[in-house]
Amino acid sequence: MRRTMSRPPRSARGLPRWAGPALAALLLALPPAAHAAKEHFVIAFQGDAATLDAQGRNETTTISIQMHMFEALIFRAIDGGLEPGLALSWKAASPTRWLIKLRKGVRFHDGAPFTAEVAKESLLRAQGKGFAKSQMKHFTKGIKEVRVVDEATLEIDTGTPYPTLPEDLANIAIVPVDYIKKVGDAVFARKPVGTGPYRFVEWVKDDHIDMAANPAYWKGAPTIKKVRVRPVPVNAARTAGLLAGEIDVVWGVSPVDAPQLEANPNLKVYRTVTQRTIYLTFDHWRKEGGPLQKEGPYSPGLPKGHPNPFLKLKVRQAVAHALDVQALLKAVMHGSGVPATQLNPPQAFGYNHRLKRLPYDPARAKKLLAEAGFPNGFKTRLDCPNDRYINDGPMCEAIAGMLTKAGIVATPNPRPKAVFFPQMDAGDFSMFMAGWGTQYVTPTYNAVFHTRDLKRGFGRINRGHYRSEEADAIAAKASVEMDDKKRQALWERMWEITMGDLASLPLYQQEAIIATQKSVNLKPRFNEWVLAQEITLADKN
Amino acid sequence: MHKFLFRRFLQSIGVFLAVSLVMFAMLQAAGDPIALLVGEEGTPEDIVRLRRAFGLDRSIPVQYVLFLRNALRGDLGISYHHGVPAMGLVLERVPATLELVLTAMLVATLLSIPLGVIAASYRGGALDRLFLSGSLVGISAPPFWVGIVFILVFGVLLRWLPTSGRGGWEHLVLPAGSLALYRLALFIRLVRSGMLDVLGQEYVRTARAKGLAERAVVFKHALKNTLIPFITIAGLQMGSLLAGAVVTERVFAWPGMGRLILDSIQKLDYPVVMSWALVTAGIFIVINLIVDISYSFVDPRVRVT
Repeated sequence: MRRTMSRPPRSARGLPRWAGPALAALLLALPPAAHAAKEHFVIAFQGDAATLDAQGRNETTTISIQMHMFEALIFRAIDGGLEPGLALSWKAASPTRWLIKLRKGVRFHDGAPFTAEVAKESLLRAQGKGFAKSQMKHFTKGIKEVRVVDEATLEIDTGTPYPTLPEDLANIAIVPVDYIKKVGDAVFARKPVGTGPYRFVEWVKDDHIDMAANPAYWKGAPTIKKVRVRPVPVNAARTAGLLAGEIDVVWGVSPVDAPQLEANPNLKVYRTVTQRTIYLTFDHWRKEGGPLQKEGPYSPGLPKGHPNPFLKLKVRQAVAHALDVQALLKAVMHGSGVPATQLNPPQAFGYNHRLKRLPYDPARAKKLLAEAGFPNGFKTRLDCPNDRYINDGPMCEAIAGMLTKAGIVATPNPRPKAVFFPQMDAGDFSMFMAGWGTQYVTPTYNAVFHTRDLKRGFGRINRGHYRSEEADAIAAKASVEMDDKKRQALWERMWEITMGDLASLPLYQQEAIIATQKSVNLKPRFNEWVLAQEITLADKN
Repeated sequence: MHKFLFRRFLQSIGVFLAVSLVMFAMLQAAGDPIALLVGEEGTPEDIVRLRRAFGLDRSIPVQYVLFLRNALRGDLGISYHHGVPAMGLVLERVPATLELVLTAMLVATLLSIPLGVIAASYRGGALDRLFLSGSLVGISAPPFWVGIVFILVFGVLLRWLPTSGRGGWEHLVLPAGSLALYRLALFIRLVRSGMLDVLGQEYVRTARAKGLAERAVVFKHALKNTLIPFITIAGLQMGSLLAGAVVTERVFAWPGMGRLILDSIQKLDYPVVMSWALVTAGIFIVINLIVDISYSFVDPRVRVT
């Protein structure tokens, strides 16, 4: 049965009668426009924390926010060194057994005491016990057993010699295990409780996280009392917030904005080299160009039937000589970034300070190509991600252009990271650009340079199938060498071999750029954290 | 009316199914979420473990069937990136988006109707030309650019309003204003051309001839007959804005659905993207329903059956 809907009452002027009152009500509901004096010290990141569970996500912004509220046994100092955190001291009683003395009298924000038992449970949770979602598992893989010796002493058994245990412990936040048992992982991830210098106050997702100074903090309460962390995704909007005085510290200033901010007398700009190294990798194993097949013999970035030039060291050297990294940084990155000589940053353990880049010398590049049997150069594809690193797409194009000038006719092939990385894993390249970002030499070697043996966890990122038995042997020795000096020397030798071979060609380390109000004093960290507890404020006079 | 609603309900089930299938298929082509989640430094064990934890080790049809089964129970999965239920993430951002979009739509509607009527009434006059050229700018300016200009002028130079974030009404002015701008321009043109059509019709002449006041002729007789296309377009605009005023939310760091979905697509956070798609489909269904019903209010010849 059909029915026509009844017509609503209407006023004479055609607008419904409720329109006037509704508008009035709306206007009254709006709060007054008072521009309240800025209550918080505001730090703007690009993204929000993924979670506030300090073991739930290993990602820079998330960790940087969490580290206001949480602490590890060992503290990662600003310069990258290790300092006492919740542990007072640590030493290897034997190559496989570490003794860790804990700080006494520390309490969590909810009043629960920090004890050896809590420390132990935290390490086990990081390993995934009772918390399958832990993203800290790889830092705790080498821990076989944790024992509570007494109230303030922990003993860690590693099974095999594990000289870098303290480095890994610096990444494991100590969490309030009793609180988590009581409220569950999901509540903990939104309402965290830690031992750190700031207490959690409020989290409005994608808008702000508020924290307040912890008056009972064992190092003394931090000077900045109220901190607000805000995710502001668009670079220009973050910069605008800084210029308008709403934001005190901006993380992740884009290289193009930095010079303008540097010229502003009301602001400060900090630049620091990070652990993110951009590099080129070559196909070290396939003999000639052709279509990609699973485990197939052809290198898909090269023309069909052409020999793979990257098998020759001279060609790889020619690539190095063909690239003017300074010019690339200037043109594509607005001068931001530091030419790299190896895949770890200078602050990393095992860094070899004697290594030098092959100089930019296109004539020499051409000569080397001719000597290698390619007097007329060759054609190749250059694969790159275009949404993973700073200006990676344009960088890809610029590198290809420079290579082409030196006789290596490179076709840039930039793609989104979600497509790029799986394709690289499948071997769909002859030469590609990517980034590597860790300060730890052992995982760097084992993932990037070790002869590929995926079952044993070696060579995971060694997509070019580079192999050096000598370097493998040195790395095996270094990773169980307990003497720091000897270990340093071994790793330096490793860098000499792999970089001499041009297993990969490091291009540059990305820079982190932070801008602040003039009154803010901070020391930038090479791990890219910004911590309010490390900031002091000059008097605003 | 009941029959009408029931039929709409049945149709909407079809819409939800179609949307979920299309989204699911599109996501499969977008790349590997695990590769993004673990990053370059993740280990093979991490990858295998996560793939299993998220059910991505199953075949794609099985994944879809499992998704449907869980969705029927109201479980759209756990966000890969945030580790909490995906639907909750989407729903908790609805109020922010609603606040922004309703304000923008209200402003655009309330301003555009009188302005459009004025422009049509004084066709070819100075006001008409001003509104027309002004609306041309409003329609052509890209929202990203408008947002940044608003921030620079009102936030940085004049310091009248905050540059970003959500808070009191002063936080709402710039993002809602920049969203309203395009709609205002669009609606002015819509109302104006509709009015011009109608004002030339016989019944308007009749109304004038029988001595009605010009105001009554314009608003009561003419305007009402231009409202059907207006409601249609406004409904569509509203729907697409509610789905996420993506660009504006991003520029103004507004914690709404648009920002969530953009982040989630970039991270290939399947459960969040799927939840968003279903919520969006739901929004469109409801808005279309409201639009269809409101036709019959404006034009008695239209029946909802």
